[in-house]
Amino acid sequence: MRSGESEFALLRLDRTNLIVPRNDVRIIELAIDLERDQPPPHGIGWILFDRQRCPVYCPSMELEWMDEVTSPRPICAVLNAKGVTFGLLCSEAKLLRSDDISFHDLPPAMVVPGSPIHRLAAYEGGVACASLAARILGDLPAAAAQERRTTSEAL
Amino acid sequence: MESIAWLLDFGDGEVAAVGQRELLHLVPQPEIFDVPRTPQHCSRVLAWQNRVVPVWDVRAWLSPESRTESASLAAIVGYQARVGEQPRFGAVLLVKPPGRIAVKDADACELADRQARWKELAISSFRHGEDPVAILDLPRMYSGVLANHPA
Repeated sequence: MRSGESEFALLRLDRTNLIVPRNDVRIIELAIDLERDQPPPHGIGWILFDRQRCPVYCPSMELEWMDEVTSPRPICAVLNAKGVTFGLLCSEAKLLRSDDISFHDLPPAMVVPGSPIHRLAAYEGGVACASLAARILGDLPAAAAQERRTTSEAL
Repeated sequence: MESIAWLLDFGDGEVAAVGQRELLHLVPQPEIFDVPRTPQHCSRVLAWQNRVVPVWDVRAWLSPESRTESASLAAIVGYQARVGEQPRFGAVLLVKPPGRIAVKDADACELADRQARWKELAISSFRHGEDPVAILDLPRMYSGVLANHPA
């Protein structure tokens, strides 16, 4: 990665493509390292990152928060927003250069209040849904948010 | 007076029309992409000429359990939200290529009471065969007016 070059991470959730700024992603790990015991509410386990035990969630193609993994998700993208670190299980993850992406407003006919998706991104002949780690964090269920606070305080 | 229109076939006997100049392009076997947290009738997009175009699934609008899963054909339509404005673009899923038809002023009629969902999409309607056919109000369909409309 060249210094100062703006990049993005493409996270594939089955058929849904999600794109977030590279700076929102702390690390991309293999999901084999997950701790599955006593998962967080609406989550599926924990991952150790930077000496913290971070909750891991499994969003469906519809960006619903699943309690179990129902399709192959071998990758865990560890995101950070507002000082909170959390993982998302993905089918695939890769980095994209900003030069290879064109961003477009979400068409008015598709705008639903409260969605974490705020733009669309065309790349290499595909289209992804653009979001931010902060928007994804804000979309996690209230119970999960409470758990994050509790875990953070305990650590 | 007579006008030329395109008759769009959405499958299951559901048809509607657009003006001759509103239909711009046909995309066979379109590569469409899911966008979660969007209305079921407009939950996908396709890339077309350096644009990302919203895809309307009219069958899903008429009956939420009838979502078109595999699209064999998409029609690109163009419209102006206001007179003099740059054209905007959208797509609709079809089951077969559109047919050109002539519509006379005398064919104008009201949609039937059972076509309540069509009334939300129609700028006007005309008799074609047995049933009244809606002429799509494209600016309304692609605006946000129907995005949060209950099914």
